[in-house]
Amino acid sequence: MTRPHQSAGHARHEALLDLYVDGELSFADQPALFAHLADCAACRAQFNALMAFRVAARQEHLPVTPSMDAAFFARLDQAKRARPHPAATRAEDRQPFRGLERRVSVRTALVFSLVLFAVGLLFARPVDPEPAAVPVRVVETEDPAEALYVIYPGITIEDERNASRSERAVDTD
Amino acid sequence: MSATPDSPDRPRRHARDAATVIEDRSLIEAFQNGDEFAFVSLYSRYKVPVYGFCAKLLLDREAAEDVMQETFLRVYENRDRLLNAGAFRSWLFTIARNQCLNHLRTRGRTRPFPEHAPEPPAPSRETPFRHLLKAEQVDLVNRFLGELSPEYREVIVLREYQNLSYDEIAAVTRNTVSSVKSRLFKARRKLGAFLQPWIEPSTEALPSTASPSS
Repeated sequence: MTRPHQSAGHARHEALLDLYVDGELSFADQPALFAHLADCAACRAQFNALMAFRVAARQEHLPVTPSMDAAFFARLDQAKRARPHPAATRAEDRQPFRGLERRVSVRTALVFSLVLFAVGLLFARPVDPEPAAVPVRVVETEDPAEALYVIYPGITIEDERNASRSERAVDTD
Repeated sequence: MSATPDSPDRPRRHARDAATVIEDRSLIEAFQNGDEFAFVSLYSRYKVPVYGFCAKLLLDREAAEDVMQETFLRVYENRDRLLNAGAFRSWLFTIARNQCLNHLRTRGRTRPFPEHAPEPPAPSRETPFRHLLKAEQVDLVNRFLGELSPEYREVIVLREYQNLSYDEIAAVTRNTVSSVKSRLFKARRKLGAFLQPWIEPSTEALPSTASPSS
């Protein structure tokens, strides 16, 4: 019988065997593994051990009994009761402002609102006038076929076609 | 060596997993919005896997029951901390694992059997594994798990008992996938060495091309 775990090649096939039993080995790699299993008794024993373990593992039933369910829900209920109630928390949150609360009449509230409105009007910013229109200077031209120059401060754009035409005009002259 | 998704059972398994994740997601969202029945549904769905995981990791059913309850209590109380509802299973097993490790730390050592009960004799090595009674097979497997350290035990339990993928095991144990594969490899090597006396030297047929993982 071949001794297990002898070489790097053997370890590689063991790793392939692991992938195979986990359903992760590609079809392309399976023939190499099967060829090795045919020759290696140690790997066959390893394969049988893995399968035996799996069978034993899956036939063991570990049920959760109704009494375990009941015990859990009793514990959950206890945990819920132990937590502070949301309403109590809210009351606690409002506690520091409790002394500042005061009832007022509708008339007082109305007067106070009007005063606030008047103060707001006093400090209201005037609406910005419409922004001044940007002056646009329109230049009309009668013959668009002629050279057209756009002159902007610092930039001059010249059409090449017009440049060649002016050269031709110079030649004819 | 390559891990590719072209194993024959992969599409079916992925479709099943996707359906489960979608159902989990809707239940989690309902639970996060205050639906208590959704929590009960989640508990009913996962109580057996979580209990099984705890029982195998602790090798103590009484403690496993306690840890399972604590796990679901934490799920209930920390529901808002689960940002990705699709990762509920990994999150749940992470909580269970942490609780188990805390328990093991508190207990100090692993006790495969209660102290007051005499340890039953190991099955005879002359009987091949497949001819052992089911209870004997389970007992033998538990002996093996008891010999593993928790870091090896948890990966083999998550893989073999809970059928979690490498990615999920990596998420639960907060490790890389390559580390998970490495630990599984070493744990399985120990398994092969442990079970060797009960495994017959076989000249049987090679495994079929169908993947055995289903």
